[in-house]
Amino acid sequence: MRVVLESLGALVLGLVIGALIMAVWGRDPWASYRALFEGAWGNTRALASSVSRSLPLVLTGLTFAIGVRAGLFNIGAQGQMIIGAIVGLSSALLALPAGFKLPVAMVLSALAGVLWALPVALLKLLRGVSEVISTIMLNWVAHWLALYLVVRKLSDPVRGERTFQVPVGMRFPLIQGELTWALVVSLLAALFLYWLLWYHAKGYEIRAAGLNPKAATTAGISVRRSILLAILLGGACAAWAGAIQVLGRFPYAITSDLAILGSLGFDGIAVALIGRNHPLGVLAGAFFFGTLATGAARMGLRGIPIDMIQIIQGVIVVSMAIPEAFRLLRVKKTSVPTKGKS
Amino acid sequence: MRWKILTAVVLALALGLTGLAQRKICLYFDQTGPGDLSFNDMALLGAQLAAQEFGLEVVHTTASSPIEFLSDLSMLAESKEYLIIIGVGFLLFDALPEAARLYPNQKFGFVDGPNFDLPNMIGLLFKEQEGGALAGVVAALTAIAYGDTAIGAVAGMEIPPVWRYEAGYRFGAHWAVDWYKKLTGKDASIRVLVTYVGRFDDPAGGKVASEALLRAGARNILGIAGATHLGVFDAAEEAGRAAGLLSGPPFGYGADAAQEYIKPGFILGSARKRVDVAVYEAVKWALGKAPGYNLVLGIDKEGTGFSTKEDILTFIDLAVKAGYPLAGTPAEVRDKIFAARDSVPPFVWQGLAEFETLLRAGKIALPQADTADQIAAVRRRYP
Repeated sequence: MRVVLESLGALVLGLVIGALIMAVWGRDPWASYRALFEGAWGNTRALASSVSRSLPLVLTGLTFAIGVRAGLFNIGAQGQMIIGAIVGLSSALLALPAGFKLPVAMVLSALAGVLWALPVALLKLLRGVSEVISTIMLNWVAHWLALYLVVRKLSDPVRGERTFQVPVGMRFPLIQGELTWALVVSLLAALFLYWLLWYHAKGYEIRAAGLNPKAATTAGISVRRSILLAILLGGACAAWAGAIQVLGRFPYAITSDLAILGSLGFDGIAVALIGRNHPLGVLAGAFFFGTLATGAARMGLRGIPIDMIQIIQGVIVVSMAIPEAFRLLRVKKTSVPTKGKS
Repeated sequence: MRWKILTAVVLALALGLTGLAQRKICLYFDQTGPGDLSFNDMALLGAQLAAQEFGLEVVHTTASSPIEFLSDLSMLAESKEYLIIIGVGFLLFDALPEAARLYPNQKFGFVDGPNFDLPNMIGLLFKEQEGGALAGVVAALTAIAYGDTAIGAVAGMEIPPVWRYEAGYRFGAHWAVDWYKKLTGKDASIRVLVTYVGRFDDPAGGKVASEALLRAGARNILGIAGATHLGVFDAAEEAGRAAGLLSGPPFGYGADAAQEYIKPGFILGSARKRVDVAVYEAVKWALGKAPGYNLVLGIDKEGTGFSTKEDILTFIDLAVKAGYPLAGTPAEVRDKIFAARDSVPPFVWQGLAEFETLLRAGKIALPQADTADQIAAVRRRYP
């Protein structure tokens, strides 16, 4: 309960700062926020768009959240997401019976995400390389590799600015407006991780390893196996984020500057922090993020330039992420045993 | 007196009725939005002109990312507030027709794209190759005049409108070399170096690309990259200033708008593309009852061209009105631009005039560049 109140307080604070920014530049904050929420929740179509926008963020948020639970700072979701999107799209090139295309694409993309995350785990467990460093580097490898493939190998012959489109039979079917059945993927992933972390021994081990690796080891828990599991599961989730963005949302293709994938991976960090690194909190965080993104254009109609909208979005997201970020820092400080002095 | 009251009542009724109709033009930008001093600002300008003339209002908003295209357009269409929603930018190629199919009662316009045979959409296309070719002639002849063997271009993304510019530019440069030989009997050779930055909103990237082109010996550089090619002008001016010059070469060349005022003395001309005219025509179409069609603007309708002295004056005026910080008084800026034009040998303008006459007479067949294969062929043929 306290956690929810803290988050609500942070939300109010963020909204107030955003309102101040608008007021200082002579815009009407009340009307602008109304436009934002009308644009995101105003009718069924808008709500469907907001939910659809949040689906990949649920998955990248889960990647970061399960990492934190295992004591990691895993920022590799961006690269794994990109790889998942590329593999998901490329699966269209395989000659498969119509009904199998989508499931095979999802399986392959999850495998690719796991493979892309594997070096992170191996480097950490065998060589002690910080996951922060290895994931940052692999993110860039994925980015440039994808850029090469998108521009040179997968591009639409008459449309230089994007790849070919996923064939109709391979897309997630539509539910309403822009929302597709990719919804189920994100929901199931969140519920599965919730069940794993709180109702299964493996999840308990992950959390124990994250809270205090030494105590966990003493209790006979393999911290290394927990870390491996958290990184690989995270890789699969992030890859699915990319896959459903391409297979489950218009225009069912990747733009050649990768802008259609945006920063879904990095945004997942903020989503996880807003959601307190809890799988169900991540659902709420992602929906909130999707709301801000979907409502932005309607705010723009109120004469607010796109740059200011992005600043306001940033302020709100940062302030909502602060409580959890503080907690993480506090935990880190106390859990690292200090030598000497005491 | 009675008549006066009657007219007042009739007028009020008429206003009331039109008040019920949609009185707003909505522009939806695919990237960057207004402020690029080129493509997007031209679209806004056209909408404002139409609004003034037909008593309408203009609103606009910009996509925060292509992820949002369809939901944004749906939001705009379902509000039923707009006479016409004009999508500005080729990147809306998937989302705009999709939205037009979802909302058949909403009129749409597509700057840089076709109408997809949709009755509720007007396609606004340009023969960019014409403006590109005119710029290519001037750039190549200027390069020859100053002993260069290369000209350059900084392009945005690999999309058909930019390809058409590039194809024209290459063709124009090669035509100029042949023409120069006929004129003087002397051989010249010009290579055309084109860099794609991959974005329309990256002036810093445009500058880096231009600096590389300058180092490669291309001192005449066409910008066909929206806000990105503002970096071309920075690079040209900086290189010129560093060499102690008050005017080029190095010269940048603008696109869409007449952009000479941005760096007076270092921008020799601009390939025009009258996005403003297109948007104005789209609003006019929306006020009528005709079904959608493709409006193709070329030099025959003054939709493309090479910036004239009148264009330059018009855009200095617009820049002043928009509060753009000019480098001096409007008269100083104008004089600097014209002085630069007068500083290059007259044969450059002679070549331009001759090419333009042939083009208007339909005696020049410019290469097609609507697909990747076509532009690849053009690149091989006109290196």
